[in-house]
This record gives sequence, structure tokens and C-alpha cells, in this order.
Amino acid sequence: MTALGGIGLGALALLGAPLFTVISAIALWGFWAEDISAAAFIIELYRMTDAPTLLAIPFFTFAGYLMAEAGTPRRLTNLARAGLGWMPGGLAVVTLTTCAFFTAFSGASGATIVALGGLLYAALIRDGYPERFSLGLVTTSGGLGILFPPSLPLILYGVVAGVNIDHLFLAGIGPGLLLILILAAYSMRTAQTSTPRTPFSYPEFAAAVREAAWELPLPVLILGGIYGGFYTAAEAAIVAALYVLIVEVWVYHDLDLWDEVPGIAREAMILVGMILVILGAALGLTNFLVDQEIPQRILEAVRSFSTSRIAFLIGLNLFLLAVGCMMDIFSAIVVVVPLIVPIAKEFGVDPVHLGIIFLANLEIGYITPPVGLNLFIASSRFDKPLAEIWRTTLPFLLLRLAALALITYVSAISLAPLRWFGGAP
Amino acid sequence: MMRESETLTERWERLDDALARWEGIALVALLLIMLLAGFLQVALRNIFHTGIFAADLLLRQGLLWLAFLGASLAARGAGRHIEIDLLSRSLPPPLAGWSRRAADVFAALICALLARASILFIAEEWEAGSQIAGVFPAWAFQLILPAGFGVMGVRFLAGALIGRPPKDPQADKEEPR
Repeated sequence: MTALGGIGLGALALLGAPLFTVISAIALWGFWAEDISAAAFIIELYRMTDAPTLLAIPFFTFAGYLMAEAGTPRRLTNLARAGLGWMPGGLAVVTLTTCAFFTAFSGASGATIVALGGLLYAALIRDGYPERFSLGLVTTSGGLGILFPPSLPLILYGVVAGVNIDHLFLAGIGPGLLLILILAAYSMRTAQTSTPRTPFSYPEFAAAVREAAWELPLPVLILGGIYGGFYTAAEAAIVAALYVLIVEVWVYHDLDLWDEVPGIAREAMILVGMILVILGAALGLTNFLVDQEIPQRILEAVRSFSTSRIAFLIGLNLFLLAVGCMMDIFSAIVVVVPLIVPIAKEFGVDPVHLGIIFLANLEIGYITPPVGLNLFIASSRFDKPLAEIWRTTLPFLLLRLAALALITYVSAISLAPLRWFGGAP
Repeated sequence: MMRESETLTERWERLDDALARWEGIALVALLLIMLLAGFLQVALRNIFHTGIFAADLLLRQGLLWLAFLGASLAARGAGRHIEIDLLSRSLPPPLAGWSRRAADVFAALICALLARASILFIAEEWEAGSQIAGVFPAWAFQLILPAGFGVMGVRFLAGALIGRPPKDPQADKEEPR
């Protein structure tokens, strides 16, 4: 009976039933089998209102969506070109940095490729970059940046794992930069001979800085406020959203308050709603699983296999790669994190470092078949078959795997800034 | 018979559109109110060392409403909820249509069970006299749970009966307002 139901549920999940209904079904079934009232599931779901940090998600998403619809992508690209265009492979480096900055805000929902991809792809082709390289670069860059504050996956991990969000924000910066540096080095080498280099021009750079002058203080506003002790991460999101709203509507006049902002807000909240119902369902399921001592059982199974930390980390990497291929990053975090955190603790993996491993790992899932979201978006955006898009991302995929190995096995890349700034571990 | 089902479909779509319009207005208004109240709270604390009564607790209840209004809208049209969806992409069109309907029937059923569970939950909270910040009755805020699951359930059911338009991965947007 249980096996039959499991197969049925699995089939429905693969046929496209919303994930939150699949998770809820498993939990409701579990509660029913244990003779517990279904209200217990809702009690757990309602715990969503106990997590103050969660409030950051709607406001950062709103800010990101506003910037995507305003002239921010153009201003950022211009600034990065004026500042970095002189380097060999300069435009490729520009692509990597602007996409990373943008994804940190828009929450890796594929918005980056839609907002920036077309702009950058056209520019790359115009400057004589090979088509394959350009496609792969733009597609890869869409998921870059989720390690930087204030990305939604980072916040979501903090909430689910019960880790201090301030620590996570700091820990993500080193690995995020490492990833960009590796990809930038590869891009420079590839593009070195074939592409023109624009000489650095100070007036142009100054003009680009002036143009983006209202958007540049945003990271300082967020991080300065949090680490200066003025407000919490959730409040930083509120301040950032209000600031962006004012700047885009009344300073740049890019968006109309009545005609455009409501539609953008609505779209942003639809994304937030989709993520939060999955989180709510996962809270219910996790409670049931913990009640059934499932994490302990997994831990014992893992221990009987190996007790070494390295072996655990290798296993974790492979497991998360598989998860990343099947699930989007938000669902993967809320479903898998509660099961892994207690096990990782037993193996001496710091929960902050674990979060960075999780995101660096799952991020790769964006460009792996069969469900890599960015592959689909790029395929549709650039009107190219899926298989071709995937082939173009292959060299980038290998580089990201190498970066993942470094991030996983050298914990100092993530944790060193925390020590410098007096954070916990 | 055929014509009757057509008018029924049209009537549902008109109702659904009207509901979505109000949901959208409520969603945007709530977000903006929360934005201003939240900012006021930060400003008052940092400048005058004071705050709005129960603001933090109310904002968190507001989050629940944002989430369920957004999730409810996501169940419309082509259906935008996050799915694993490995199989239906590779199925031939007629089969894919039927598999979506099967998934929608399942989703509607689960939403109905969740709505029922929410009502049980609220009944318990009502009896216990739960309050937010010791003043506001908790059940009033929790009503969005059965309402949200209920509306989603009806939308999934409609998707199962009427069928859904195909998904477009790039234009991940509904028709503009």
C-alpha cells in the first residue's frame, strides 16, 4: 500500500503536480497513518510567521523586480563596460560581474537572463566573441551571484537551517568572488586573441558612474545597515525596496507608479508566494520526518558507510548535484536542508560553510539537464535548441565543478571573513 | 450540451478574472502598506527610540497573506507553481495535456484536504482564544489559510476540467493588467 502510494505520488510529481501539493500529500499521509490530526500540519506551516528573517524575501524580490524592469540593467552594463572593458576579454568579464550583481538582487529566478541576457549577448556577438562561447557565458552567468548578499536562496537557507543570516552574508562573498575570478580567467584566455579591446577612458567612466550614482550605494545601504547595527536583514530589505522604488520612480523616471509598479509588485509576489507555500509544506513534512527520527536513521546509514569528513563531503557534493538536476534551488533548500544539517553537524561541518556548499552545489543545477531552468530560459530567449545551449555551457560547467571542489574542501574561503570580523566560528 | 459547457467555461473565466483582479489589488496594497509601516518602524527606532505597537508581529502575519495571495494567483492560467515536471516535457502533446489534467486533479484534492486541515486548525485556535500581541484575535489573520487553499483548489479543478494553455518558459508572465 505504502509502496503503491509512493509510486503514484512520484508519478504525479513527474507529471507536473505542483511541488507543494506533493510535499503536503506525503506529510498529510504520514500524519494520518500516525493518527494525528491534520491540523498539526497547519500548525507547522503557520510557524512561517515565527521567522522574522523570512520577511526579507518579499521586499528583496520586489526591489530586484523593480530594477529588472527599470533602466538598471543598461546602466550597470554601461558602468561595467567603462570600468572593465579595457581588459582582454573585457566584455566577458563585464557579463560575469553585472549578472552576478543582478542575480544577488533578483533571486536567481531566471530574471537575469531575461533582463540582461539579450543586451549582453548582442554586445558580445557585435564585439566578435565566438557565438558558442557567448551563449554559454550568458547562460552560465544567469545563476551566478546567488552566493552574494542579499540573495534569496541565502536567506532561505538561513531561515530553514536556523543559521544567523549576517554570518551567511559574510561567508558567501569569498566563494562568490572565487567563482567569478575562475570564470573570468577562462574568458580572458578564450577571448584574448579574437576580440578588440576598448582603451580605458576616464570621462566615459565618470559619466557611467554619474549615471548609475543612485543605484551604486545599494550594497552599502544594505550591508552597512545590517553590520552597523541599524537594522535587521528583514528591515534592510524594507529599506532597500523603498529606496529602489523612490529612485526608479522619482529620480530616474524609469517606472510609472500607477501604470507599471503595481504589475511588477504583483509578479514579484507571485514568485514569493510560490516559494513560501513550498516552505510551509516543507515545515510540515520536516516536523513529521523528525518525529519519525528519519535524520537519525539517515545518519546511521551514512556512518555505517564511512565516518570520514572528506568522504561525507564528497557524498554530499554528488548527492546535491543529483538533487540540483531534479529540483529548483528553492525547493531543494526547504526539503533537503533540514535532513542534512544534523548529519553535517555530526561530521564536523560548520552550518554556515554547509550553506555555502549547498548553494554553490545547487547553483550548478541551473545549467544541468534535464530541468536546469536557465537552459530552458536561454533556449527560448535566444531561440536555440536545448541541446546546443547545453553544449555551449559545458566548459563553464567543468570550471564551476572545480570551483565547487575548492569551496567545499577549503572551508577558509567561506569562513575566514567571519573570523576577521569577529563572527562566531 | 456542447454550448452549455462553453458558457459555463466562460462564466468561470469571468469570475476567475474578477477574483484575480481583487486579489492583485489586495496584494499590491498590502505590500505597499507593509513597506511604509516597516520603514516607519526602522526610522522611529533609530531616530526616536520608539516604535509602532506590535508592528513586527503584524508584519509577519502580513507575510502570510502576501504568500497565499501570490500562491493563489500562481495557480491561474498556464499554472506557474514550481514543479519537478520531468516527464510531461517529453510527452507528445495530447498525452501531455491529459497528464497535466491528472496532476491538476491531484493538486485540487490536496488543496481541499489542506483547506479542511486549516479550518480544523482555526477552530482549535478559536477555542484556545489565541491572540497576536495580546490584542488581535489570531483566527482573523489565519483565515487566509483556508481561503488561499480553497481558491487554489478551485483553480486546479478548473484547470483539470477545462485544460490549461501551454507553458512558455521565457515569457513567465501572465497577460498584462
